[in-house]
Amino acid sequence: MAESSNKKMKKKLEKAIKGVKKGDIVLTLFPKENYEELNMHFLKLLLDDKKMSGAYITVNRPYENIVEIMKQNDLDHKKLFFTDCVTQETGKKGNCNFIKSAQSLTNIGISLEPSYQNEGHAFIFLDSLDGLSLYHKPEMIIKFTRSLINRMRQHNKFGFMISLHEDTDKRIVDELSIICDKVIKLVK
Amino acid sequence: MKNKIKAPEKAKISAKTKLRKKSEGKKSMKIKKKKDKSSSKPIMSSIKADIEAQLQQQRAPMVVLSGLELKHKKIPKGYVATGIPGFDDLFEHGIPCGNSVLIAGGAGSGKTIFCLQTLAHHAAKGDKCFYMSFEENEEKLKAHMKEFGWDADKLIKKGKLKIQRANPFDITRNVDALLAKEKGELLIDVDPLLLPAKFKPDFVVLDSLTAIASAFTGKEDSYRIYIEQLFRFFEKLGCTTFLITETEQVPKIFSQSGVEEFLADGVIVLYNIKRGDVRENAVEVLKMRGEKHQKKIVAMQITDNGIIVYPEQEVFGGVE
Repeated sequence: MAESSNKKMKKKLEKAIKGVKKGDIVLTLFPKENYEELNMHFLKLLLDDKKMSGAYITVNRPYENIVEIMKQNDLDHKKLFFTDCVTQETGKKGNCNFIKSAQSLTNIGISLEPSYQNEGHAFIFLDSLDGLSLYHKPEMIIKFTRSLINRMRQHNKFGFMISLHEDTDKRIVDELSIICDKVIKLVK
Repeated sequence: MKNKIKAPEKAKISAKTKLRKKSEGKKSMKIKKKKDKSSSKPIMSSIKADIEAQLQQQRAPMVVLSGLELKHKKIPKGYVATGIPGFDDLFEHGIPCGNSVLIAGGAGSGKTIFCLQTLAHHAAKGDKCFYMSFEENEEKLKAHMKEFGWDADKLIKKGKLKIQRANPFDITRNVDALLAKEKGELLIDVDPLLLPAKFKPDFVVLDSLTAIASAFTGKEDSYRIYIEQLFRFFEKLGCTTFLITETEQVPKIFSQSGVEEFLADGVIVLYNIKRGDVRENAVEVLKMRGEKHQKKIVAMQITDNGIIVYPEQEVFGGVE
């Protein structure tokens, strides 16, 4: 039963991603229990099926951890340039830029500068809005994502923002639903 | 002032291009190796190499340089650049030559680095630069420059840079003479600042007005007269001047007496904003006579190579 529900959600995600056009900004809401599986499936669709590379902002899991999970899912982590706000380090290591804390939204923005300039980076993936909620008030998250979306549009990048619908403030979802080109809500 | 991009910048850019070429070379070697291994299937190996090359192109570079680092704005005649990546983009042209500009900010906001970076840029271009410090000594400032890769000794040897430490209390000794001159009681000229002999600078940094003001404690009127004389002195000299002032982290006034910001042609404010348990740097051009500039606070970072300004990056909270 659970497996068929997972399959349905993956199919819905595949269908929605297929219809995404260059420069579109997409808000995707996942159910809590299926977050990891759906997140990896999302990356598979972008990296393998759409053959894109891009920037990945992680507020939920450390870089090393994501790389490990990607390897387990047979995904090439080198196709992504990470901004890690979890490990509490600073500086660059491999394909990751470490930010001391997710509290520093300005530094998260700065870490994306090379991706805006790099034509090879087709998308910016924000994982996740509910993760940012641990550090910021909804008004600040809305301000940050609005600014992020403006920059993505300026540079004609795909924007993918994910969040757990159970844990995301309604104001954030309502506000972003207006600005985003597409909202994908995956429910069991 | 010379405005063209000179040798050091060119060398920096060509070094980066060489680095890129080198890494591209390594990539193609990898592809070649893979070709050799699968020599029994030449078509497959060529497709594989092709895909690999495409993937390499798509992948993020291992060393990510900000695109801003390679950009240097072309500055028209009559204006000067700071050479700080991203900062000069805040102006339509640049800082008008001969302007006296306050560099205001709190502790750790990057005022000294901002000024040293600008001087290193100008001295490397061949301009004569003078750094007058009332706080740190010459050796400390030279070491500070070295940390960022700016060879102060080389520039000093070439006669393009002079760093001098002075005692702010020495200045107050001249003030009586300056006051007498102001009242017309003294006919000879008294300069408010002693510059090195036979050295006419194009660019001067004075670090800091706050230190000078502290030597005038209890003599606020004398300080005001001195400051007026100082600004007139720089105007007469014709050089572009940066005058550092220490303020609060998010200041409402940008100088000791509040008079300096009216007398100055420009005010550049550097912020060191606390957000939770982290600090963020930001910069703003508050005022610049004779030049259009962006009126917003933008993000800035102090890196191992000096300051980088991000003119498009908004600062989130902290500056009200």
